[in-house]
Amino acid sequence: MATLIPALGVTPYLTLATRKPVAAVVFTLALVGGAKLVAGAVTCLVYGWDAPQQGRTTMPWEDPDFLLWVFWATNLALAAVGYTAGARRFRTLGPACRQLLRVKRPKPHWSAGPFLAPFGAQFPPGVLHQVRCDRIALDVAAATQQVGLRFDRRALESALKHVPHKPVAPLEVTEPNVEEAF
Amino acid sequence: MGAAGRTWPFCVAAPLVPLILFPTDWGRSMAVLTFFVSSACLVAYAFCPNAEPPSDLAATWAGRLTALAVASLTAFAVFTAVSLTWSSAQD
Repeated sequence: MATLIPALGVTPYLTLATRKPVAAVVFTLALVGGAKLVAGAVTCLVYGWDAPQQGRTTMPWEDPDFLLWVFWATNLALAAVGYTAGARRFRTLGPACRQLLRVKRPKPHWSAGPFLAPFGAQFPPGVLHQVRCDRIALDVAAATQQVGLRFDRRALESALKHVPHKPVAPLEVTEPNVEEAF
Repeated sequence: MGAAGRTWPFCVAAPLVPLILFPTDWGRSMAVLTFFVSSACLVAYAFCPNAEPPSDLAATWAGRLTALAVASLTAFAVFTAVSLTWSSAQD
């Protein structure tokens, strides 16, 4: 049972964060290993550096010792934090998915639904027609504001607004009268 | 839950390999570790991005976790039953 709690609590958040199941499993193993290191460090702090010689690091599952209790408590805290973060990320992931689906929803090339609908049958959508978040292309470059690079300054600046060209009256340049100046 | 359904047999079968191949205390420890890894794989593939987008968020989150907890507990029950049976047979 102690193995299920971190798997159910931490792995969903890591999967949603990394979007890669293998990476989530590896990070879950690393976090549980880190929890064991923390438990070992706490045991050494409590019983001294000769805790292994005292038999404090054997982790007997039938009769849990201090190291095992700390390990379980750390795993419980880890699972609680992971569960909270996973629920929050799942809650924020849903509207983003729906917004993306609303912007660009791929149209099915062919569906037998209209042909089977008069017969009262429902045709399940094919695999390629299922809308998924990772198959929706979002043109980020077109959605963002254009910027211009000015070489005389050290920062990016927004491009100038396009204004209609107005006729400009030519300037009359008059030659300065040198004699009047003196 | 399609990906999780395909991962569940792996979650059940994977811990039995070290349990049967290494009938020692080390083999039992490896079986528990393998069961943890396979449970994490089960949960990870249930929440992978290729799964269906969430429609009803609260129900989907709670429903997925409940289904995963039931699946993991069932796998744990199978693993425990096989482990006890195999250990008693070896003794």
